[in-house]
Amino acid sequence: MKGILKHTALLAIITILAGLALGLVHEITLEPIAQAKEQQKQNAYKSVFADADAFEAKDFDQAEADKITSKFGKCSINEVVEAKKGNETIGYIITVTDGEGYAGNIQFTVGIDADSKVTGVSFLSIAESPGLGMNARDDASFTEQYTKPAEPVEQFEVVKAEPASDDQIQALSGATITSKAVTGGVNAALAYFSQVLKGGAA
Amino acid sequence: MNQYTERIYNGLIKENPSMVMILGMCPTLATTTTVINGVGMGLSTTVVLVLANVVISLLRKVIPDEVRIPAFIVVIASLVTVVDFLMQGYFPALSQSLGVYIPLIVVNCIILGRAEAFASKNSVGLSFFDGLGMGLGFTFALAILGSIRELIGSGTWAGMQVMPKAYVPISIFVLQPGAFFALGCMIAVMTAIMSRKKKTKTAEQDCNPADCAGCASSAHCGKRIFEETAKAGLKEDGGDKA
Amino acid sequence: MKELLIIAISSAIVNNVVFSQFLGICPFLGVSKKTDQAVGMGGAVIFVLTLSAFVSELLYQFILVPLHFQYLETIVFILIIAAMVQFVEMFLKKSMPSLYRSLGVYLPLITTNCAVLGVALNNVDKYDYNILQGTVNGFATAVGFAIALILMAGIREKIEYNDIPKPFKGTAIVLIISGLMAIAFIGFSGII
Repeated sequence: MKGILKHTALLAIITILAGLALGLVHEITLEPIAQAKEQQKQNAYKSVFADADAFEAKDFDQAEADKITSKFGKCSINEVVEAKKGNETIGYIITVTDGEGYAGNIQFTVGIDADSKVTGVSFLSIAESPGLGMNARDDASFTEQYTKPAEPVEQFEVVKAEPASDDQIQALSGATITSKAVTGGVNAALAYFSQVLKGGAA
Repeated sequence: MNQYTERIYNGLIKENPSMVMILGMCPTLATTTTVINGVGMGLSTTVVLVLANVVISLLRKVIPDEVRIPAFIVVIASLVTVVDFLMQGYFPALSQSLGVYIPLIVVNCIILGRAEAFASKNSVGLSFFDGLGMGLGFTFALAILGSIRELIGSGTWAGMQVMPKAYVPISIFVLQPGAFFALGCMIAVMTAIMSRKKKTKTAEQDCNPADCAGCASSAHCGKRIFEETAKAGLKEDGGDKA
Repeated sequence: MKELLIIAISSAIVNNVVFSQFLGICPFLGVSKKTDQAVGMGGAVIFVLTLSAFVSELLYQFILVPLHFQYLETIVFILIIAAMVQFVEMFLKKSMPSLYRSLGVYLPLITTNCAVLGVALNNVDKYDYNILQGTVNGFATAVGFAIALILMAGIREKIEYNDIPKPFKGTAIVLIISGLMAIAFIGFSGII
């Protein structure tokens, strides 16, 4: 009996010490982790909207956004950011999470300018199969398809062959699921932009 | 060769955790899609392994025998969490591509196995080098496997184009089946080399890999843990025999 | 209901733990020599994984989140799993001796089965499942594990006396077979 008590006490002490140590490390690394995330976000913003010199988070109605995005499968809007040049708003950056990737959630930012044109797509978190789905991030020619059209496109469509028109996106070879997930997210962002934000953007 | 370098050699070649002991298969298969991921995983495991060995060796006189497994698990889990935070803070991209396999280092049998078989019985210095050797051996195996899979599967090495443009990558090698194929062949090659080395006693008689495959029945970690837990369980129950 | 069914099918077959997520490879290689052993281990894993997915979700949602202790999840989950395995073992021994006799020896091995911890962590981090979804995911994942294990045991019994090149004997050939099975399982990825 005494042995059990002693062992329990020892285990408890070890666990408490470990917990305290973890708490300490958590406090120390909290800042760098937040910084790394912020840095990544800023880089993503910059890469989808190279013209802008400042980004300002904008409040948005999650329920309203969910209603619009629910038509595009399992995706949701996480953040809306105004891209500013000087004092003028030149477009919006919408952070979308799409849950229909091959390996879980894909989170990315979509930049849309005042003319409803996609200015860029940049990935925040993606863990698809390397060499296949990961090419969405690694192979720039995939995301360039969204920015290529000269005229604003309302909705993109994924095709497996050579695209016939500007609103068609050629799927990554061997990664149709990833391509569809990303395109779904871009379409959701476009729909949200045209229904909610467009009036506000000059 | 003094006993410290002997530890390193032991971990790298003689008892290489991935290729000879067949331990830690999950991260070996899952994270070797590219050589960078493999090396990143290997090094994170090495850090945890070295720290865990040192801490457990330091505590070996304090921790009573009966509760050492849970105590080891607590120590290892805390160290893994620390490494996880550091990776998230300073290597966000790598931490993202390794995903859940970083926290899963906790259940990597290599670490508990070394804690149990070596660190709990040996001095701090030796345990440090044992952890280092085992960790480097693991990293080494992951680097080779990652290189093979990336070269064949994507035609690149560490992100650089290596294969000629005309080469069409066999992408199944970066997918799940390729991991099994590549590792199977690698273990076969290793077995062939080992059995040639010791002609008198083949590796097979010594320890049929199938018999000690996986931690579940490995002589080095699982079995012993299994026996101990079974014993501990019996003790708690008032010592009746199963 | 439909959503739960999708989760179940996707984690049992499409994203099979062993062949697609590479979790629980150690017991998969170690305990797949005989079919009856495989059935025993599969049963034990289904039992523990369902329970641990439920309990870890419960703890996460009602204790860790309100206290903002999410960063302790790894250590809390592994302790819960270890404690629960022990508890299940004691409980079975006392109240269901017949079940204990068939599953008992496999229970302690489950603590180091990374599928158990992996599911608990994925439930809260990767998928943000609620308690019901998490439990269903745990159960289905374990069923997927049992399927993989029993299939492999069947194959290994058949090839036991085959003329396999010497270096490939043992783990190597099992890995090659797993590769072939993984190809088959990739075929399921279109159904959802």
